Amino acid sequence: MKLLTHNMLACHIKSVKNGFPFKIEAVRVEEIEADFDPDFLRHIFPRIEYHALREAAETLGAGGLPEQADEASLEDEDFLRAFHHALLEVVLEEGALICPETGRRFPVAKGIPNLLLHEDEC
Amino acid sequence: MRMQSLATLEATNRGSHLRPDFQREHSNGADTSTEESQLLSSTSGRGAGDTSGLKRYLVVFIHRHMEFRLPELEAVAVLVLGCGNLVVEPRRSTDRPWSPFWYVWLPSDDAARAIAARTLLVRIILEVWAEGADWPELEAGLERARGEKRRWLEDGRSMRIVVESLLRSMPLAEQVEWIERLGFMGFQGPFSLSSPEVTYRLIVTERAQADNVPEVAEPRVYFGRQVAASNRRVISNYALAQRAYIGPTSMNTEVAFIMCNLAQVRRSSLVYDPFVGTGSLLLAAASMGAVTLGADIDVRVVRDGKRGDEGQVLDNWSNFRMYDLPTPAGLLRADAHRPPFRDDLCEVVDAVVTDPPYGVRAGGRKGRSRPQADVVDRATHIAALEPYSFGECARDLLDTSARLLRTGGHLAFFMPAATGVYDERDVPAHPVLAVVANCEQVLSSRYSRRLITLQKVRAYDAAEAAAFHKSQGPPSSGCDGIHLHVFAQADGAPIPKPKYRSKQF
Repeated sequence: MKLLTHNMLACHIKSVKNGFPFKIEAVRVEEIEADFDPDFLRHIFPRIEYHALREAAETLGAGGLPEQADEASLEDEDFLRAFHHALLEVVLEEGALICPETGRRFPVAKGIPNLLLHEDEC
Repeated sequence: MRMQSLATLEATNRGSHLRPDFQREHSNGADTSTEESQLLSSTSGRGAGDTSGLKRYLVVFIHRHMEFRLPELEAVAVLVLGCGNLVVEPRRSTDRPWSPFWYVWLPSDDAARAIAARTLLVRIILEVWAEGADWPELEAGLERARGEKRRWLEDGRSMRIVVESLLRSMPLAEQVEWIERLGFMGFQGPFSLSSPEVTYRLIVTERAQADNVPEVAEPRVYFGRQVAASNRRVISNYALAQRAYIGPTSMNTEVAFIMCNLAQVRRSSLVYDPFVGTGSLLLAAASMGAVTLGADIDVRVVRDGKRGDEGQVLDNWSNFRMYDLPTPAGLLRADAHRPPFRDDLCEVVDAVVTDPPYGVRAGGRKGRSRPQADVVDRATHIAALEPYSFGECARDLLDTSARLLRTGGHLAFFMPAATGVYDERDVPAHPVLAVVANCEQVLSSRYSRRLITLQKVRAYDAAEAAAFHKSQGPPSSGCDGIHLHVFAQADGAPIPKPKYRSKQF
């Protein structure tokens, strides 16, 4: 799972008020090179919760994102590269996503989070 | 339905669902060369039916997936040219409904080539020099065109003339006869059959010789310069037969690419498939340069995969690796009934392309809610699932898509249909999604499926959507009981229960 996906997900247990963002428990993280596509990055940036992305990237050992970023940052090639790397090149292979409210652990195996809720959660 | 709309093809209402302002802001920066930017500037802001600055071309389709052909062409034209709509000429009333010939207006030969390179169902695009009901009529037309086309005839480019009938393979002697008749045009050559710079085509459509052969088109003769020919190489490049990981319901390669075309998937798109299975649709989208995201409730299909002959693991990741495509941004094990996205996530996905379970070859499943359940150990607990009817599944699919799609983005999905069961009112609806195309693909004598393409026409409003769903009552569809129809036994024997994937998998 790349961090773009992490940024879109939230714990959707019925009783949970704010399940975003998932905390990440990282067991195995890989870096995979992805095509650098500035058009995609500019298009997706306004939809990204930037602070959640930055925090997740740091958890997975990918620093380099500045504390603050806005649309103007997209003009900066260095920022675009760091944003691209965090969003699409850092992959959580094994570990878990932890609900920030309940601590419910959703395991990630083979890069795929198991987000199916149990009967009492939905 | 499509047929009627084609027959009454009116310039006035064309393109109403394809307003140029829906084009993504950076659409002239996405898959763009200077050439395409020029195409864009020459076609944007054009009124429907306005042909100024455009040239007339004849599109000859492949004779399959008939209902998909024109919608695919229209979608690809918008995608490749960045124009608001494609100008398609109404056909003569004497023509046959499934004739593979359509005249369209395009800015240039390059535009025609760009379209042919992307569509699966266009065979040839011709610049027609003349056409007629018979040879004398064609000859008269060519006589008139000859002066204007002189530069093609005399500039020394290598050329060939291909003669064909749409109904039969034409004997060589007959082909030669046609070519000799064309001699008066004064083609200078040199001739090259293997690698000509220009190909001319003479296409004959004839009256059927036998009663049981349906005529595909009104009898006519067309002659013109071939501007573009289709590129269907993706079908063999991504053939299911050679793919590492497939399942019983993996989407046929040709249809997968057509679906992505109808959904206008392009470079830099974010594409979501909530019923990803073995990932055929995301593979097609990724090959077009999209960033992909998929989900499935069946953990064995989406995550575990299977073992190959040498014990190697074959799964969704293997396929992306074997084709050297960028791996998905995410594959999730998740329930389409309870999508696991943050509440404020919207206007983010460019296309949703999916093949939901119809309950014929694979039945749908969703999580079962039981608030009183006593889950002892979450790490080992296996969540209970229950059947997910097509009606409910379609409602959820449309609602999730309506929320996640950017305005102007598309949802393309299949729904089952059967003679005597299908009713146009069964096509699922949503207040912010408008039907762009509804194309039938016949699968057996008992049932078919329909590719429904919807476009998001305005922003999603949760309250409006909730009120709409409430007004519709409990989700249901005429397709819910389709397996009863498909598997009905002549002798009244019991109908087998619809299968979930497990048995074949």
